[in-house]
Amino acid sequence: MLSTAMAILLALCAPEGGDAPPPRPRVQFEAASSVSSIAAGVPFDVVCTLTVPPKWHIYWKDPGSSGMATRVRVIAAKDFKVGPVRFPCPVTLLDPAGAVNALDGRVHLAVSITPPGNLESGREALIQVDADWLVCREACFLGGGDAAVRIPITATPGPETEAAAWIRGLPRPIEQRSGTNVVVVPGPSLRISGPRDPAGEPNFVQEHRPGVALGTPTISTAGDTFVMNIPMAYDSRESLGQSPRIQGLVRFGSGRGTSEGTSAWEIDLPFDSNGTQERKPAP
Amino acid sequence: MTTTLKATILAVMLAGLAGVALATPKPAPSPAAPRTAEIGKKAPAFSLTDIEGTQHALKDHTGKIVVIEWFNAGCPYSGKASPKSVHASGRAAALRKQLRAIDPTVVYLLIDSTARRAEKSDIITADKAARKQWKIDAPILIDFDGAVGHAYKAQTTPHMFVIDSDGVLRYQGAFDNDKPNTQGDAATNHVLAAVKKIKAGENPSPSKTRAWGCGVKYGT
Repeated sequence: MLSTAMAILLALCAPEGGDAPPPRPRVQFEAASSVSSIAAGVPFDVVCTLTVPPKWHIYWKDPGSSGMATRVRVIAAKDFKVGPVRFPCPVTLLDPAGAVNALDGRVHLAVSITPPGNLESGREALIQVDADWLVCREACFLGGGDAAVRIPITATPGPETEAAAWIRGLPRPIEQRSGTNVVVVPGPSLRISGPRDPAGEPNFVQEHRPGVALGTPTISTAGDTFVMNIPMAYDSRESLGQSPRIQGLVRFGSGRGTSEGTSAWEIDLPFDSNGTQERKPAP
Repeated sequence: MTTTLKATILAVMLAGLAGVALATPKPAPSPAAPRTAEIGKKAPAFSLTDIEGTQHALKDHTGKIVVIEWFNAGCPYSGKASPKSVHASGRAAALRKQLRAIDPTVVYLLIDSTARRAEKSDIITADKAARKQWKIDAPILIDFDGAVGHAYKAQTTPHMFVIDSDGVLRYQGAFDNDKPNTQGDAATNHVLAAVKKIKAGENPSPSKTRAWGCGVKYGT
């Protein structure tokens, strides 16, 4: 009895350092259309779903201090317009090497596609997607996958599929958030203000741009509103020739969206240190 | 004991402590390198043993340009067999060759701060295998306690640092601008560019970039 208890105690106290490295995890990759059929000129989404095993994570479009952004490529027929990949809000994981922007569990990425206006109904559209990712825990593994989505073409779009619901929680442009102002004030700093969100306290996830340095935000709340100030600096010598932009997410709580909506909002505006940039609040 | 007396004793003790603090001479600023890395300042000093048991100190290379690459034999962007690995793809070997062509005295060091869920002997064994497999003609230094990695704020494998002949940190960040390894000769190697600028008597631009790769697997 005593020896069993001792063995359990020793097992619980054993340092992790001696454990064998984890085996390669299997990340499942699937793709689906947001509608059951598509029609000429009417945009729809292809939703890529990556199912990441528990305790492992892949990376947001800006991985943070380490890691690699998950990459998705969509191949559609000529004249189909393919939009950028929309990512869900990341969770921030703190690691001795720094903070990373991670995606875990079932991860849905969306790509908006607009078919040409002269698409003939009665046929089928083929959309091919491939992706690669870095999946990490104590070790990291590269992974990749591909999938094909065949969608009937009809005169009017078919009803939404289950996949349409999966992406309702994706971050949307902050211009669509009611009562929210984004303004660059002399200093310069980025000032974001608006109503608070029941999902949690506001915070900011920066999307890194070369040459643009954003400082630690100062956040104040009063009643139902918040004000976030983010100091900014720009050094053209470090820009790698890219135009300076301020990009990131205003996140409330962990930022995990729900089927009802998002609790993370995208910011994307050119860097202007003169304090003339302003985003009007949504009505 | 009354409250007033207690307060008086406490005040006397605090005053005494403050007096000691004020009276204690501050140590003179050390001329040694700072504890953490910063562009334009002396690079943090270190002395580490490589996987063959040889000691390497930064000060041994005074007067030479030193390039440091953070390394992990198990990372697919670093020492693991993968098309994206800077070693397996031959990009790191090509960089060392190009650096020597610019300046034969350039010192190239790899530092491995990996410690999570692994024994030090396992790390050394894995590094020896990777060094042999990828024909790495540069020493791999072991930083098992992560002290040097934390001093340099090394975040990824690879994470590159360039120190000039005066021991000043001049570049830190990415290996190149080709994370997925798809650009071939069109890619820009930031380390090579930085060393060229230093040799020309100019400041590297950029002097810092976002490093990419696996996170450094520090033990703590």
